Amino acid sequence: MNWLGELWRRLRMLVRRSQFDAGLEEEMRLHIELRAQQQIEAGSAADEAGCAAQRRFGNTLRLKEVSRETYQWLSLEILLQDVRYGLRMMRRSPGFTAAAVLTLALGIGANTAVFSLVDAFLLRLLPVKDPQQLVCIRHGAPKVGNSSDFSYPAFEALRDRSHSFSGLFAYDISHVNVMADGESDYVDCDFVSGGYFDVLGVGAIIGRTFTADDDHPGKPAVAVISYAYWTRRFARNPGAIGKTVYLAGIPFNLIGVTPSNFFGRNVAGNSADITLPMFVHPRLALKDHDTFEIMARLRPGVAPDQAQADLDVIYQGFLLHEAGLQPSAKVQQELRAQKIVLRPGLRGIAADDDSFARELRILTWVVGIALLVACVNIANLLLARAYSRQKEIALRLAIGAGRMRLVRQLLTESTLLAMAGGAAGLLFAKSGMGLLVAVLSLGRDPIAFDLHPNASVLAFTAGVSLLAGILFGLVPAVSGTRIDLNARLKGCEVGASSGRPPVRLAKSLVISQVALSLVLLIGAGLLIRSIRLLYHVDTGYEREKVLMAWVLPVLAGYDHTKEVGLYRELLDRMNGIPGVQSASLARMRPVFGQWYRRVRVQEATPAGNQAPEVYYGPVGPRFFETMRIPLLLGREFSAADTEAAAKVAIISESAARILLPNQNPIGRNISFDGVEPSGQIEIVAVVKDIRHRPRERQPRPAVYVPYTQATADAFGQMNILVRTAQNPSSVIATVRRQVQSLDSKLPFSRAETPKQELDEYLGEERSLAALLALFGTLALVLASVGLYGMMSYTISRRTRELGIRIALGARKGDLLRMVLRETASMIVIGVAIGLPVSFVAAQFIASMLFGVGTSDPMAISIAVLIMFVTALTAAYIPARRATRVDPMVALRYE
Amino acid sequence: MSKGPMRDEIPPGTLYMLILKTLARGGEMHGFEVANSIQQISEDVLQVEEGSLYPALQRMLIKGWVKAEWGVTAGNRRARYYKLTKPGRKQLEIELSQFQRVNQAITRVIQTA
Repeated sequence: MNWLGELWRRLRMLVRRSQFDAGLEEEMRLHIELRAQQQIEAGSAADEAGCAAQRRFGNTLRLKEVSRETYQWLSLEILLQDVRYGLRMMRRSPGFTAAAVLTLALGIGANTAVFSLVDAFLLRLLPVKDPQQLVCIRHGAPKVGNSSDFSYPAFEALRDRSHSFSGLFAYDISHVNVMADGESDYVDCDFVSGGYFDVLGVGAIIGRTFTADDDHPGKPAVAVISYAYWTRRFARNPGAIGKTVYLAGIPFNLIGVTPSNFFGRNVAGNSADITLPMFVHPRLALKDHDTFEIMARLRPGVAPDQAQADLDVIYQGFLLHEAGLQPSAKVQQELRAQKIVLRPGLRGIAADDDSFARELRILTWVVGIALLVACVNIANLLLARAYSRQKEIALRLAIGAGRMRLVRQLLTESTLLAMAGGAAGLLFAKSGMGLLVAVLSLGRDPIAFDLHPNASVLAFTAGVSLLAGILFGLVPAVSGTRIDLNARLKGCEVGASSGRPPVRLAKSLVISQVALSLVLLIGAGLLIRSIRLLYHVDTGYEREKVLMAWVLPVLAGYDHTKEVGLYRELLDRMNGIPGVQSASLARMRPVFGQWYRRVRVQEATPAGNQAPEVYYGPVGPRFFETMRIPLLLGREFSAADTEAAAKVAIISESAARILLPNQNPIGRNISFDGVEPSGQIEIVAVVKDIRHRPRERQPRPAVYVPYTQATADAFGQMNILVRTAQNPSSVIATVRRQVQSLDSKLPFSRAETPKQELDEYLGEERSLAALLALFGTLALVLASVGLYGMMSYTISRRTRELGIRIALGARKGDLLRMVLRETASMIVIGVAIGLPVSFVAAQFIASMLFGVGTSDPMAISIAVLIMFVTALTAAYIPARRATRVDPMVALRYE
Repeated sequence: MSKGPMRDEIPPGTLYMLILKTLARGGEMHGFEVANSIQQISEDVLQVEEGSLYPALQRMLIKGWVKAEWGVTAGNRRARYYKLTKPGRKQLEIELSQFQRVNQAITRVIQTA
């Protein structure tokens, strides 16, 4: 604190220097005059008294100097002087300054943009009370991995029997259709158990949030809306509070709005528009939503280990109780292996193990490398400049400037450049953010993100700029001031080795650029290669010309009969749309939809055995025709396969192989192990296998059933499938119109092709590949520019040598080859360094690769080839200049 | 310097202590008053090179031991009045105890000699 006050006083004195000087002078004059007056009063003569007073006072001028020194601040004044000088230097070479600032702006801007995201998603704490007490509860067996899904009774057991927490809540993320003021709106929603807001410690900014008391069947239904939804839908009208809205026909009272920085269990991003108490879940949730995630707040003083041990006992007890009276020893053992896993919840759930977090971490490295390449470039430019300023530097050294003082001066200049670059980088970051977020959003819901830089982002940018300035300034400053004064002042150049920039140093800088760029290029190459391979996997169904769209009758309050009627009507209408070749329905989408059931052949699978797990696909008539999945045996489902008709199923080849090896499956009966007895189902056809996701090594065995005969939990939502001759996006509008003409309140969402679904599935790979390619190219361009600059410089320095060579009969081709050979040797060294680094770096993306290893020869050779071609092209221009050297001019050069 | 009693230069390093002590005793004072006060109380033995008071006061301002405010003297002239601050009071204690320690040590050395 003390030094801070001192600093402040010093600064104040510095700023008001003239005022202080005048004050001091006045004070001293007063002193002398008072003393003289005293002497006169004591009886001295006036002039004598004045002299005596002055004598007693001492040397006024010197004392003033000494006084001034106390508040003068030498280092700061020198700094200001250096800054002024640096600014003058920047103005004097605007081309250099612009190039350097632009390069840095790109590098720093990219880092700022990525840091803004890292800051927003990974570093920030949840805006709730004491976030470090929050934990996410998961369960799993060792080596199997763990899951965050719990049944609601399991949650209740944990909540009611544990003693380690001040509160627990369960939540489920879903969608609802909100009907307000006569307009319906399909929104994101959270179902949360009553303790949610109390456990988080989040209040409403207007109205109130709900509590455990509101979460009981029979209580009036209430809802809390997010700030974003309040803004979007109600224009921040406080009158929205108290309004009644209808969800699937059920009236809800809007009781409050959450703060604008509250994003549920996350620090940023997308959050629920509306939050509902859990007791309405059975009536409003999608029918397949039967698991919940749990978060909890540790009681103060309880360690996570204790809490976990507490929950382990409760959870295993619960599982044993669920398993019934006499579970077999094997089952008991399995249940006892189930452990509770606690994850820290202070930064929200996304920071923990989200693919987005991983992507951001990789990206941080990528932009860091790009900035490093940019810094090296500027270091090289500065190095060349320091040597062209050698006369100036030598002169200053000769008239007594200390070398440290000069290094400081040069560092100030580079830091100024970096600061200018940082400021420009902020502007870049602001416009680049949009692009970055768009690329990162590939395959995800668009990332909602506040683009305004905050204090920590600004501090980061300033820090990075400063670091960059020192990083690229230090080497040129130190090496540029190492001068042989005598030789230099004599104007001696040729032969005086001290007068040349150390070519070795410049070369090694360029080599490091080549190595770093190569790492990025290889990374991009690996990802691009594996994405191509992923798209080329034959998944066995039509990807391009089928339109899929969700309809969600459950959200419009449909009952079962009405829902089945709706689908029948929809099918008729879709099949009638011009340009539609066939239409069908599917409960699951091919890529993201996953539903597994255990199935057994009644006569073939012994009762005690574990029944094999198969993909369960409720689909409509003409499904296989619409998706272009070939039928091998038997018949398609048809409109005649109604709820009341005999139960039928179509199985895939691999299912046939597993269930009924070497037998004709047609006519055989199967049944599903499940919550409800599914009865006898007759196999009526065998279809070809499909791969739902291209990463699947083996196609999953599948059993398809008519949607009309599916279990009750399969209802509530359905995909319309429409196969078109032309581009399927041309029929989206018609399909939507047809759906809405049947029921305008029926939620209709995400109309897309399976290809687009696959794009989404590969979103992480695609966005990383795009960003790696982008920054790899940037680094490549910077490295080429660096190479070009360095070669131009060395060649201009070697004019005399080249002249002699020409005079002695060297041919142009020889010279060209000589220069290019030199460049090539630098690239070879750069590649030799970059390759092992890239092997290590590729481990970070290894899990994303498909069909290629981290040392894929194809990706590596393409990257190396690109490197060579670009770098040699960059070196070719100065090399050609070398061949045009006129020997006479060159020899007369000195 | 022939007239008057014999005057001694103040020992090095004690100027701060003397100024601080004087201000502690006298409240708000301007530079001339400080110099006078030191001289009078020491019965004219201690002679401050009067000018050197001012660099010292500047340094003390920066350290935050004293505060300065412009005021008007009895003779109706503008003068800068110095006043002790809390850190200044603390500093005075430090300097005093240090001085006493050194003084005692010196005295012991002289007496045993």
